Amino acid sequence: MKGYLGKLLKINLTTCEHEEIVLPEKTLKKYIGGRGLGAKLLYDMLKPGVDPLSEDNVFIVLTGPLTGTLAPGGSKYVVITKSPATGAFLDSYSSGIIAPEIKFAGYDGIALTGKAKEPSILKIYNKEVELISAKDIWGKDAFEAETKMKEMFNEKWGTMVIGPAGENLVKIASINSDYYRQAARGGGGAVLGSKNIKGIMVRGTNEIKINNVKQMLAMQEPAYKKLKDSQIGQVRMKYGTPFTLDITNSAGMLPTYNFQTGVFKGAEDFLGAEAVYDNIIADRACYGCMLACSKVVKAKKGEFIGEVVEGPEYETLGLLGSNLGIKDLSSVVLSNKLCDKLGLDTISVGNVIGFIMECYEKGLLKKEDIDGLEMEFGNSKNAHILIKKIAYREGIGNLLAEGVAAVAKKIKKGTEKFAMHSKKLEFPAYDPRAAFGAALAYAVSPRGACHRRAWPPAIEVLGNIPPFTVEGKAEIVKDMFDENTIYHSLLVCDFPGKFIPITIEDYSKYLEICTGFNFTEKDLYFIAERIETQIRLFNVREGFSRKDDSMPYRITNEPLPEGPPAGKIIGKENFEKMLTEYYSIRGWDESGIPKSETLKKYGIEVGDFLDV
Amino acid sequence: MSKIKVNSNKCTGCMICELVCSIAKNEEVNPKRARIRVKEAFPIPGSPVVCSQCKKPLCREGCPVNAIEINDVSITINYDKCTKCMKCVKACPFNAVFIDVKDGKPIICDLCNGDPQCVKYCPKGALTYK
Repeated sequence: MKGYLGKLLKINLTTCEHEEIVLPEKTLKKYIGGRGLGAKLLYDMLKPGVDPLSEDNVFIVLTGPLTGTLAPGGSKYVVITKSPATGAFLDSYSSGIIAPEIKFAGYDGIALTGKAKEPSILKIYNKEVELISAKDIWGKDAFEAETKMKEMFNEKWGTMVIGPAGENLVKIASINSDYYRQAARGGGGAVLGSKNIKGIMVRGTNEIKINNVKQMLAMQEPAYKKLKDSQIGQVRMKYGTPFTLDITNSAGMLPTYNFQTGVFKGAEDFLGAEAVYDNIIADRACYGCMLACSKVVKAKKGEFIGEVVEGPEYETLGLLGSNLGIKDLSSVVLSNKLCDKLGLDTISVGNVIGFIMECYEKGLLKKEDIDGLEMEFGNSKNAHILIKKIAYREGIGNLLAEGVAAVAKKIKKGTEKFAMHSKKLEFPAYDPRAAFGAALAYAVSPRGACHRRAWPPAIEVLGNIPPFTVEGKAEIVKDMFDENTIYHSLLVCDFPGKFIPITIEDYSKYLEICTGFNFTEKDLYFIAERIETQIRLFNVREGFSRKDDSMPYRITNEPLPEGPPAGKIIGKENFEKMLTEYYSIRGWDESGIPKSETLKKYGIEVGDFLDV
Repeated sequence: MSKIKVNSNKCTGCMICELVCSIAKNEEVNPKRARIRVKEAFPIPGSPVVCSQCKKPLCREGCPVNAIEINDVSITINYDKCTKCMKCVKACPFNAVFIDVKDGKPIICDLCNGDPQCVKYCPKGALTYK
């Protein structure tokens, strides 16, 4: 097999047994890899209704046919599991050396079942699979643990590691790779923690067989040329994702004071593109990437001067900056570093703390309810204290570790209206009231509120599509979803597609170069549709339906007070209209359940991997 | 003699040089066969290590069977003579003699006959050949 290795390494952590599961070409052609293959595998391998933090859950790491090759953006892996944060399908992406190393070791992915007897590190070197004791690093922060893992052997190893948050089963716990790369969303870190796995290290010494390796090299120069001519590509390379803040703040969609407004006055000057650029000390690329959009930042001034992190990315600037009313970039750098070290998702943490701050300022929570902390907006020091409390489930942190939906449920007093989540996954840093399509994108995202499945502001704010209407948004969201599903199944980063740009047609060529598969752009979109319905089936089996594709009251019923969206209201009826349209385009019924003719159309069968 | 120079300030640690080397020299995707290797470092990325084409190569001095030769372009290894004793690997003060993971042979950058592919494909201009 070319491009793929054709094998899934399945490890039963309870019995320490492992086996290689053959991934038939037929299945790979239907689901490609990454997100798509994960949808198929998780559906078949997981029993319905299992507790995500029990040993019955399955934790899968997958690559795709383009991973590890020269194909632009082929540096990614995806974690597929049942999310402890949402109870739904979780696909959480990261890059890191481990992605290509899994393939060099001879596998397309790794699936973990059961639970290790004691805290362990899973070590995979080609065909050698070993559980080694993690007693020396259990309890250590993720950076210290990863350093110890990297020091164990005198070679480059791919790593995944959790911090104290994952060990403590915090539902917003992330997984680190190469220190600063996170599969952060949805609590994958807690699933590893529940399996007693502190870290995974992989090294392989084999080749990835490519159908036409010379052609792969020949594709490189035209891509460089395209990038050179791409204005947005150049901007992305220079500033990284912080440039987005300048756009969202002027569009009135930058979450500020827990989404009470979408404008943080003057934020461009202290959290925006130039402000961050001023502190960059190095650019860092993912494996094989010509963009190098990740920035290493050292705070030049501010209360926490000298703090260093790879980041902060836009989402972190929004949710740990403006959303908390924090203007000091150095505070965001430190918050970012704390989350990375402790193994927490910066997006979810920013939502939880922002929510607490709003409750505190509205008198719904008193100082004594929050372990004696004054939590007014802008209080950096106490935000940092809360981050640590969440990771260690200490005091109020034990509740916050459950995510914002659980916190609102406990506090009551109508606070659920401004607990910013969908399917219990906290909001990314774009207020949907400034681009109505985003409300639908968040609501129908299988893993909960997510900006990486479809991002309508790309045309609602930056293009010619009117932002303050729901008309036509269902179709836009569906198309965007499918485009990203193709990237996430191949599996490549979605940035080269958007910023170089490498088109889907280009990627179909890369797929052919790698695997020999002949798929047109249209074929790939059809496969993406199949994958979305396959994932939907998983969530339906877990009890999800239309009622869960929801938005907080604040989003559907309250207008933003300033900026371009001032006074505009989505309205519950309009929102429901988008949902109905979306389901109809997908071939799902009014409740969001895939129709039997839809399953037939996409040839979705269940059970191929039931015995694995 | 010309050689590859690394500007570590421009390097982003993308490892395209390793990938391209592996493809150019072996027609396969396997960076562990590359003759240029990026050092791992955090948070500032490490940069590549590659043969500096020393005028008095210690690898050659360390080789007990005179397998290391210098041609018009570069240092090369004569594999008819090489016994894989790895003394050259140990002798290089820059750690720029690598081991080919597939056949266990020592490997040194041969500058691709004067057209080093890693230099050609480095997206950031961190590698120059002069």
